[in-house]
Amino acid sequence: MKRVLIIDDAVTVRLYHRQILEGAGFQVEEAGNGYEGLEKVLTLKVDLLLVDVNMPKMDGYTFLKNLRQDDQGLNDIPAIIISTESELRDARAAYMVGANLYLNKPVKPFVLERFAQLMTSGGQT
Amino acid sequence: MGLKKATTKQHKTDASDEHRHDKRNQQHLLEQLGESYSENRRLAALDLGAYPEAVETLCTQLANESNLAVVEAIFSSLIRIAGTSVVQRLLPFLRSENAVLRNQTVEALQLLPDDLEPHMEELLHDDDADVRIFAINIIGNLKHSRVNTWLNQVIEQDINLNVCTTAVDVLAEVGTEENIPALKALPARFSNNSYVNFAVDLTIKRISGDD
Amino acid sequence: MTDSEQHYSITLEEYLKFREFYYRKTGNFFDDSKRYFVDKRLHERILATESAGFRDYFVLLRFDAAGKELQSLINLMTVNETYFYREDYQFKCMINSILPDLIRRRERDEALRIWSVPCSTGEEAYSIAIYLLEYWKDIDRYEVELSASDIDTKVLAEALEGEYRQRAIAQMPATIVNKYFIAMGGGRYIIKKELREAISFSTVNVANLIDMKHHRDYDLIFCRNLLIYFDDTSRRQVADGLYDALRPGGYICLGHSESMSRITSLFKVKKFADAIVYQKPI
Repeated sequence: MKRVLIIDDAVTVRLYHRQILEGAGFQVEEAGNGYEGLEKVLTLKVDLLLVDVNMPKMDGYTFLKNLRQDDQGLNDIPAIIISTESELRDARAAYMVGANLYLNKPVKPFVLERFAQLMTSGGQT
Repeated sequence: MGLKKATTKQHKTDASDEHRHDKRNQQHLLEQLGESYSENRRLAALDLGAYPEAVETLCTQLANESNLAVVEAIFSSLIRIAGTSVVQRLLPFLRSENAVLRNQTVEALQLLPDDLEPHMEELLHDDDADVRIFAINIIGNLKHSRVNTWLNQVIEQDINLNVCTTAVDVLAEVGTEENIPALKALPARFSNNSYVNFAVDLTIKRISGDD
Repeated sequence: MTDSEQHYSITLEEYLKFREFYYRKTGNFFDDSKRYFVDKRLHERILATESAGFRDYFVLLRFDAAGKELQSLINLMTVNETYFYREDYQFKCMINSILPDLIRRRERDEALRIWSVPCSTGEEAYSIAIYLLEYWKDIDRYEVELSASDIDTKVLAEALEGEYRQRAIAQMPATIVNKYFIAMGGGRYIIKKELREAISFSTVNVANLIDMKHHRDYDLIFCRNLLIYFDDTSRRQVADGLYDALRPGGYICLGHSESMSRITSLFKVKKFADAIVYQKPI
């Protein structure tokens, strides 16, 4: 079973995405901010990241920047940034820090499911 | 080799340890804030927390500082200084392109609730939806009698879905019966979007506390 | 039925609401198996604060000035005992990973400086000392300075005395006890003089900026089960002080159920075989 880590400070967002992904057969873990996200990826095998942008302690961009620089084997975990910011420059900023995909909130359930399946369907590295 | 007893530095408060509120010490710290070695900038930023007059310089440095440890030190000092001028100088950072500055500003403002309170209405009606979202997140931590009314107003009137659902999320923790009618009316405002429905259902359950 | 016999049950939704609040504030998540544990303690605080029920109590919890009630609650949710070899996976990490890394990056022949704060009655500091002497193969090649501090002079005095009861030493193998303690009879043990004299004890208030200025250049700090007791503002300041107390590249270990994730993002998260610890950037 593939595991998704949802990183968002809003409980309703985490639970909403959890419901969608568990329904699609994924195992789900949560983190309340980017820093906790880093702690979790170091302790669990994570196949996909769902990352909010604005969070306390460590925002989503900083989290990704840190992750992509990781030297402990974690730097290429696929990551979807999910954000309320909808201008083009924000999508560009997301890709610059190493996001694989940028989606606007709220994400349609079937869209999230589809992308999650696509991005975790590769073989083990 | 092996375990060696550390020389205990006997701590006596002497004149050099006290914060001297004299211009020369402050001037020295302000200069140190501009040094190239980040550890020195950080220590200067922390010590400047004793000088309310330094707010302006600290905020200017914030806009240009790239080292996270120095940024955090500046925010620590601004929080210690507190007051209306700190809040006024920090508010513009909510719109910063820099995610670190935006979010650390939200955190700092959360620790300055009394100074922020006069600005709440204005922030809740800001043109920028993300600023309104920040305001709602801060509200959740305010010990203010108007919080539930403010959140009601957001759910009833704000045109942005994410702003409204942020209020719903906050209400999952702070909501009371007074918020339930507005919550029930929200899904219709957004064509029964599945996330809105989910968030409203969850929040109403949490408010009523029913199993 | 007296108040203490009254069965107060917290509904599932109330539990979920509380759990999320506590997780948001502390980073500590109570999974479903902790329901009874949490309910019981919530009930205790509801009674102690004379709240009408959970709802009333939750308002108090959120609105309480300076977060005092949250501190009381955290106190209750956290297991507070101190004993030798408590959470010793971190001592193993010190030996296996932290010290070798510190040695590898050293530029000068300086002593390695380790700080135990709060040291309480000394079990942690003495455990560190014993671990170094017993399990670190390089202990004779390097100088190690062990410091231990607490705000409470009473517990410091006890630490200096070095006298303990059976309960405190129960986790240690008998061979270790025989080697480093003297049995005084009546279930009392005194740690040997060489160890008592090897550690530098001092008072410190970690929330006091001036106090903390005297603490610099540590390579490793054990700060276990202290940060959770501060409110958001003070905790930030304490974390600042601990950061500045470390050398660049130095490490800090928090308690088993603690995390920097609700305190500061300044420290780098490091995963070692035995533990996850935090490092001041180099």
